[in-house]
Amino acid sequence: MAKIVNSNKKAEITMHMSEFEMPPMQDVLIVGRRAPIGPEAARRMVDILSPDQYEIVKVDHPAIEAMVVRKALFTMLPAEKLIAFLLEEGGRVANESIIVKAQVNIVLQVSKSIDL
Amino acid sequence: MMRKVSEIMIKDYIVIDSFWSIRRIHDLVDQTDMDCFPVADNHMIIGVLTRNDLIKAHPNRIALDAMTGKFKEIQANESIWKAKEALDMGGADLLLVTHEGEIVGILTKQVLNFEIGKHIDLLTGLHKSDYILYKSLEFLEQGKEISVVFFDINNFGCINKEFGHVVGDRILQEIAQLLKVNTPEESYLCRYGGDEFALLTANYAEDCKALAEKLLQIIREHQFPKNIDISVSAGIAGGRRRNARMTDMYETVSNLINIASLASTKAKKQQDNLVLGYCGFIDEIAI
Repeated sequence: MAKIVNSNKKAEITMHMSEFEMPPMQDVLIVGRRAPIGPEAARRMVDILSPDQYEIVKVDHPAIEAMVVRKALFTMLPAEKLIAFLLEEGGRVANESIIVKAQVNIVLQVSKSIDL
Repeated sequence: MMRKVSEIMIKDYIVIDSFWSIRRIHDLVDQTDMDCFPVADNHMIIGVLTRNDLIKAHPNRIALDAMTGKFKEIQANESIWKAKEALDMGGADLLLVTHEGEIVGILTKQVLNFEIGKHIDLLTGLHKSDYILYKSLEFLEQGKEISVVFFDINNFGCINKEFGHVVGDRILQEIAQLLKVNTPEESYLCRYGGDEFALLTANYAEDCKALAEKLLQIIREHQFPKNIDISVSAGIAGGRRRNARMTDMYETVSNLINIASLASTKAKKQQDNLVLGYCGFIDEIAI
């Protein structure tokens, strides 16, 4: 004889709210060669929300196709040095199918002595 | 006549908007028999999407992020050989075909290679005569001299009858190979017809005599199947440019090849099987 089992369904809801970031990326996007969103699409997306603030830098790397970089960073560091740094560190975590969001904080330390 | 780009180009091509997704373009490939598209942004063609690009790209990507920017333009009235050179040299995958500044079609590698294949002789692997005509016109446009050496196998019909066509074919293959290996740089060889080969050089006709003698000697010394004694006759025709501009260079070149062919027939009666048929001014021979 078949047994009849009563079952109950329950749902628990949790919600976490935070402020939506504008644009929804920070300083750098590292775009993989086979990522679902390409660098042009990413740049055009942020251009609508934050016009003229990001630049695409195409790179020669087996897994990384390009980086979408906040232009302001290039005013603090020469582009080639920043890109080399991002490639070295980003290349360790990125693969060709993902997009990595990176926050880059640059602190310049200046010390000068002057004649009194 | 030489095949033109306009004769083989794809006229019903589809232009992809740069914001279309690869998934959408895959659907388009399924619905049509096309797999290579120009990509436009604000009605300006900015790149091309090829079959390879479509295979590699994630379906979510937009065309702009999957395309390659490698494309070139070619005039509709250019020859297919010019198109082949444009694709090979530039590393491009697609040519936009233009006429009076307007895009009138596209030409893909696949379509072009299919057409070029028809101009390669299957037995010998050499080009057919069309290619020699194209290179002749190119030489003339570049202000170079042209000469044609026409080779004709002696008594080839008898060889075919006596030893069979399989042996005849092998002899043709071996002669083609001998000529090909010993053809100098900046010279172009073709199988013109059944047992006839033509060699185009950028030299004066008189300077081709030594080359023709050398090639005839190489063939004479070669050991052919069943030790058949093979000899070849050669006729030379060539000229010097006198006028800077000529009206119908195609006709001129065709006549030059014809003169070389007639000279090779005459050469069959000569002891050395070689006749220097024409060495005048090339702008005269079209008259």
